[in-house]
Amino acid sequence: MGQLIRIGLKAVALFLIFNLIWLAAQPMTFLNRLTVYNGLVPGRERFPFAEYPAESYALTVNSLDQIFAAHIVSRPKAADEFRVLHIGDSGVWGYLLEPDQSQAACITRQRLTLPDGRRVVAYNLGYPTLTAIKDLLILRRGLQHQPDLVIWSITLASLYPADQLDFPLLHAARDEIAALQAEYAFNLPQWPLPAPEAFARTFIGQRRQVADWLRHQLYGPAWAATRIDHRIPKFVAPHPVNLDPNDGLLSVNVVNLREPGRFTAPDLALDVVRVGMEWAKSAGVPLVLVNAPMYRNDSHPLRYNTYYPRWAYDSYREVMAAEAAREGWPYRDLWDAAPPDAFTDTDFHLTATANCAYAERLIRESLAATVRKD
Amino acid sequence: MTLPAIGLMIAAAWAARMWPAQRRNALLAISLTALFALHADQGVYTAAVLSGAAVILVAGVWLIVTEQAAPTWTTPEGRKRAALILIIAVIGVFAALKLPMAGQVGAVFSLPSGWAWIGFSYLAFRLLHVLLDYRIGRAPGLSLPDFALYALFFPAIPAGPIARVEVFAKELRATPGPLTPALRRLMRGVFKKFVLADGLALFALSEALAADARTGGIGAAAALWIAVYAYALRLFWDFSGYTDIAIGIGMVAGIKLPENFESPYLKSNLNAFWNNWHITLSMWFRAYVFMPISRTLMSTRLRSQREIVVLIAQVSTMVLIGLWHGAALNFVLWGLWHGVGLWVWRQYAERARDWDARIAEQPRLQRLIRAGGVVVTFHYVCIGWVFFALPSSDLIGKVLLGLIGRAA
Repeated sequence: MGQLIRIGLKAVALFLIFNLIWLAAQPMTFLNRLTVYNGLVPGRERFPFAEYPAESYALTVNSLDQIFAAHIVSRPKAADEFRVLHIGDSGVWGYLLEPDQSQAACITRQRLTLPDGRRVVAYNLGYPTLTAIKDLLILRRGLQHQPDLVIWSITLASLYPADQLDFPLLHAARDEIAALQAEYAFNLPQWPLPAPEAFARTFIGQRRQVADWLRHQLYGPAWAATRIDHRIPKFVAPHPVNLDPNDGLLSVNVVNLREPGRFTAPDLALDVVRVGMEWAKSAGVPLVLVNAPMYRNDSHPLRYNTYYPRWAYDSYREVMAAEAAREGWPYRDLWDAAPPDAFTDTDFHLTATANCAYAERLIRESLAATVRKD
Repeated sequence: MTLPAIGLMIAAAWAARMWPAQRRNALLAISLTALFALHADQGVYTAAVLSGAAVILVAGVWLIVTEQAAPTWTTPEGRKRAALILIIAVIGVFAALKLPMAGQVGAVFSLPSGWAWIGFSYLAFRLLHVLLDYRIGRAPGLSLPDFALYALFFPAIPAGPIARVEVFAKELRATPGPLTPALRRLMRGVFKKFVLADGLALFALSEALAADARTGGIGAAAALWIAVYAYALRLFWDFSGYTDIAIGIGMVAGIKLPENFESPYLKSNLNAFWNNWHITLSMWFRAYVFMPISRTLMSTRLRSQREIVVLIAQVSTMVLIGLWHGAALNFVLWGLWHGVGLWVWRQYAERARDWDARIAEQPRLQRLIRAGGVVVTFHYVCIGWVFFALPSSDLIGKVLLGLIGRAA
């Protein structure tokens, strides 16, 4: 019994020391870059996001470094590749679609070749959350992977300053956002996010991250065998078309507009967009801003859809057009690029056929906006 | 089996160990409580019925096989006939539980639909072993509490191992060994089951993954092989991990249960694999199915066709083992795969004796051949697991074709 007690005490002491070492070294920073993808198993074609992990053979992972390491964009760029990165929300990600039905996959499948012989290969860097800050962090990492063109799809709801930080992915990137805030002082009413306690930096505190990292790797072979990363339900409730007879916004955080009844530039997270455009310009990479298509109820007097009353969306479009012209941003307003019957469960998610049809127009207009054809 | 349940069983075993004079009674009380608790999530009434039925069955078997307890008006021949009736009854219950009619049987006792008699098959194996041995003149000679503890020993209720009654009785009388090896064994089992096996479950072959898997081409084939290997290892670590836990708890309680796995995937032929995979079950079926079938057939006109007798006995035994896992075609196919495989190995081994003797003089070549045998045997077993894991012949066909790079 005495020996067992001694063993127990030693085990506790070793465990405590291990946690202290973990606290000091923070090995998750290194671990997040370690991956079986793009090596032992093929890379994922889009960031992992799974509401049903077992059936999706994927796990929602809250580390940008980890999800980038697992993505095919981390593979070396081919010499004859014209690399296009497509950033945006769930519509870009391809919610309710298979990986090869996303807009990026459709673009690649067109097998476009530029006059200089380079093949257009597009990468899906969409992620199912509506926030420009998230897009900015993804853009920063994306620019490290030698893109030749970036398409950044936005919508009004991704530009509400008060809704930017509501997501676990961003909470996990708190330190990075803190550095951005120190440099750029974005208009982020939700900042500062609560700083993690010391306990959250120990092994015990980060045991969930470690477990998720491991599970993410373990799903790799299943992804390789099935190429499934998203459980698509057999029945999908269609998005509402009979809209409420009001002109309120879906987000409860959008209050106190500078001019009642319309959006103006300061009411939107254009400061975040501006930084992204500057980064791309500094990197010498053309970046096309695209106002993503959405469902429009043309007969409703007050609303376009469940997300947007007409007053809000119309003023947003005016602001975007004016800002893009003033700043010289390549900008395409493709809000009406998809017919009303092309949407699935929300006002932004397209059917597979409509998604590919839209993708054809998207790449055509993006290339026209930025690439000089010889 | 959850970690808290394992923790409870360890604590209970430890408590019994601390009470040497009453260790047997304490362990029996714990076993009866565990038997009830195992069924508790099916409702108090169901748990009471099933654990009560188990106790009555155990007591009935003991009455038959224990001369000192038998009523004076019974005769040895009468008790042997009663043993035979009970054997048939136990096998009948066994079969009924495997078939859809279990629901109807349960309805007779007002059990809810979907009821399950957890651990009955292992209880049945122990009782059948005692009854069958009794019919050939081997009586256990244990008191009722000792016998009840043998039949219902709590670590071994859900998944074995299947101890022999005489070995268990000896362990019951022995002094408990040191705790450190027991705890080491427990930790090993917990690690194998809850870390290794549960980790592999994320990408091991399953009905869902087989249905979703792409087939055709080298890449798809490689991914499927990884899933099959993962299934093989998952099954081994899950089962052997559970056995380690059961043996470890037994050691804490002071009772050494028999080993069930001895590196089966490192054996160089199928016969050796089955001598080292689920050892207690293999031994049980060898003693009570294979040998009786062989003996019976050898007493018929088939005795001049010895290898046909062996083929029939081996295939029958393995198919029965398959059916024990489930009354479905895929388990029959699995049994056939192994039964035929064992017979083919036997034919080869019989004919290769001289060659084996010559090879033995060249150790390096012998090691190389042995390594090749391990690889071949492992893959043969893995293909068998495809039948075992997948309930439909469509999926089995899809995966088997996919493993060789063909699109299904």
